[in-house]
Amino acid sequence: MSACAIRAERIGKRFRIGRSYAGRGIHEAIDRWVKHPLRAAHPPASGTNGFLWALKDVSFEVNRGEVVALVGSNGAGKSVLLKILSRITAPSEGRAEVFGHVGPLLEVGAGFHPELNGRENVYFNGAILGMTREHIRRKFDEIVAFSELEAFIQTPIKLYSSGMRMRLAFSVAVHLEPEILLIDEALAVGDAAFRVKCRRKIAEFIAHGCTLMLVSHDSAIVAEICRRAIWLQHGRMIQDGQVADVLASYRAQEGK
Amino acid sequence: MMSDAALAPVRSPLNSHTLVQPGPKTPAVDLPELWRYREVLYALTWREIKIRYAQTSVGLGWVILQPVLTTVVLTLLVGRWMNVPTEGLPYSLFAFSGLAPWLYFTHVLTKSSTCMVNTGLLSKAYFPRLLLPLAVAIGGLIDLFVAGAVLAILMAYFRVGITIRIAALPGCLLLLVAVALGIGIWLAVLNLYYRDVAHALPFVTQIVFFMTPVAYSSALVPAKWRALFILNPMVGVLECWRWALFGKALDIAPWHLAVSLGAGAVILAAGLFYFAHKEPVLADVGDT
Repeated sequence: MSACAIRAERIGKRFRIGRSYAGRGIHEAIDRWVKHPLRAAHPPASGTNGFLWALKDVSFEVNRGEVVALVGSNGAGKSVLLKILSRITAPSEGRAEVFGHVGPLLEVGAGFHPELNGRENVYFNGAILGMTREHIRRKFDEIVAFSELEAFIQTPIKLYSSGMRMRLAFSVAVHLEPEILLIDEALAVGDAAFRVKCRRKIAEFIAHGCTLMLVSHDSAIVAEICRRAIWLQHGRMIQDGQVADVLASYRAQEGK
Repeated sequence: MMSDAALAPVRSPLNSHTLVQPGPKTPAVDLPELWRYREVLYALTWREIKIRYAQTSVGLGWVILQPVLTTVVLTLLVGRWMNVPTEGLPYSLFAFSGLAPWLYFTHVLTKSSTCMVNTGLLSKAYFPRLLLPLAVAIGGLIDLFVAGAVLAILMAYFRVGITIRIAALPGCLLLLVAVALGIGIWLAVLNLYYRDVAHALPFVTQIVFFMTPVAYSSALVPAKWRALFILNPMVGVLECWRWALFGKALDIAPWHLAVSLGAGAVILAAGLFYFAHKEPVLADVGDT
């Protein structure tokens, strides 16, 4: 078996800036055609005109069992990178290979529906994240116990507080037990006690050889669980190395 | 190292090796992949059914009320004032037999058009996006089956016998699903880019209703309009449907039927390719 868990080769992701398609009406598309038939037929293929490279030329390899932090300021492309690795969105160029089942913990509570009760949402959310019904059934009690929501599990989650919802969502996520875990800012959930519990669970994952990529602005957490860090800025990789070194240069840059 | 057996990673049936690269999804319809994600399809379909009638007091009763009340209205208006040739079938039965698939069709179109907008799913996890309209098409079958039961009761009441052709009914059902899904997947993607689609849809289906032999028979369509009339794939579906249910002769020529169903096949095939082309970046336009 290959020791490589994630291999990214020159990944780039381009976004259209300005108004998105979604906000445009059909009449505007027709307008464009009528006014600028040539431009509408040949939109600018590259360059900065109306596009933003959220990621550009990002290459790295992560070995099995490695714990890597992605650091960088807002808009550096960290979340987009995780979305590409979990196949939520395709890159515009480059390619990535992922060896192993991925647990995307990008925004907790994927598809939580307010009308459904806690139990139903656990099953639905688990399925979306790639768990089989059998797997969820086996883990169900553990998930509920972890969330400390035993008393409310038959209650529609529209009646939950936002903290309760987050706790339930995170409990499902940490019972995914994937080989590769991608975490985007998801550790900051619930009160202090719950956060400690979550961090302990993450530590267990790492101890069991799970590969982890983590986006966090909390350098204390980064320094605590990661050995390696990748620093992204404006979509480009600035530094890839020991967590202490990368954090030091990132902080120095931030301080300026 | 694996001291705690309970923590051993559970093998997921999902991809253990994935290649992420730009460009449209190939092949357009990856059946093995859809099969691997069957649990997600199950969950989506189940949720679709579960939340449809949440917080309603009549609940699943709506499934019966909708076609029954529409049939009453049609019978009083169209059945009384228009002489619809039904080959001896009571008009109400004729209308109901068309309404059941028609309501399924419009239901799938309406739900598909919004199935990817702000669901909170696209941007959070990967699964073949085709599962979303597919779950709509499968979830809608519940309504159709309930309406089918009502239809069976009506047929018994009017003492309308069935023939051996009833065996073709599952095939007709498949045609209906394929036609509805074919248009549904177009609407699902188009509505992401142009939300106008969802606004125009109720209005457009209302118009198409009058161009589809639900409340009337295809035999009433003047010859000069036939060429246009048969381009509507629902014409072929409804003709097959009544042919199988009542052992009734087709009201259109066999080659008309072929054109109508062929139009449905083209829409579905083109829709699948269009969907595959857009699928990799749907999360960028669709979700919050």
